[in-house]
Amino acid sequence: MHTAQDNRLRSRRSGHRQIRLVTGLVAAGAAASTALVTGGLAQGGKHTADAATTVSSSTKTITAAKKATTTVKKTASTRTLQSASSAPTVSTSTAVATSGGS
Amino acid sequence: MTDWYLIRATGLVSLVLFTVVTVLGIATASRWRPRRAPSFVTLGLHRSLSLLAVVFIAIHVVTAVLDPYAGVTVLSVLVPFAAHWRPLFVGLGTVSLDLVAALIVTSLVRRHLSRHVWRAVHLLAYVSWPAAIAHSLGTGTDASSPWSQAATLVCIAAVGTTLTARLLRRDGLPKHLAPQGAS
Repeated sequence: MHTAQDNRLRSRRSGHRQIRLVTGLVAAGAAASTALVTGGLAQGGKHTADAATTVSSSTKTITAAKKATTTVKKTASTRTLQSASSAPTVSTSTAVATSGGS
Repeated sequence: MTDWYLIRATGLVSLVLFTVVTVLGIATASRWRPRRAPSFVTLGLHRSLSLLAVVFIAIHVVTAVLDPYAGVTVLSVLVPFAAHWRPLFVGLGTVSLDLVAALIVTSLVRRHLSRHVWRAVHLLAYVSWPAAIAHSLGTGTDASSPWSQAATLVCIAAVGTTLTARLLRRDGLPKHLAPQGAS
C-alpha cells in the first residue's frame, strides 16, 4: 500500500518537475527569441535608414547635377543667341547687287 | 523606435506561444500525453504556457499602445474594429485578445462555473486562434517577410495537424500519442 502511494507521489513530483522544466525552457526560448527578433529588426531598420540616407544624398547629387547641366545649356544658348544677334547681317540681295555693279 | 521592433517581435513570439498552447489544449482534450510522463503533464503545461503566452501578449499590446508610431489606442485594444488603421485586421487582433481574456478568466474561476459553461467558453479558442493568425497576416509589418511567413505556416500546420488527428482520433497518431480513454 505504502509502495503504491510512494510511486504515485514520486510520479506526481516527477510530473511537476517536468512541467517546471519545460515551462522554464519555453520561457527562456521565448525571451531569447524576442530579444533576437527585436535586435534583428533594429539592425534591419538601421540598414534601411542608411540606405535611405544614401539614396537621399544620391538624389540630391543628381538634382544638383541636372540643375548645373540646365544652367550650362541655358548659358550656352543665351551666348549663341547673343552672338547671333550681334553679328553683322549682310543681305544677299545687297551682296549680289554690289558684286553685279562692279 | 525600439518599441516598434518590440511590438513586432512579441507579436510573432505570442503567436507561436498561442499556437503551442492551442496544440496542448487539443492534446489535453484528447487525453494525449508524452511517453513516460504522468497524464496531468499535458494539462499542466497547457496551463502554465497559457499564462506565459498571456505575458507576451500583454507586452505586445502595451507596447503597441505606448508607441506613438503604431497609433493603437486603448479603445481599439478593447473594442473590436474601432481602430483607424486597418480596422478589420487590428479588430481581429482585438477579438482574439478579448476571447483569450475570457478563456483565462473563466479558467481561473472554473470552480464557480458549470462544466458546460466553461467548456462553451473554452471552445472559443477555436475562434481566437484563427483570428490571431488573420491579425498577424493582415496587420503584421513583417507579414510579407519569408521568415514571418514560414513561422505562420508552421503554426497553421501544427494546429491543423493536431486538430485533424483529434478528429480522426485513432488513425492519425503514433501509439504513444494515442488517446488514453474517452474525452
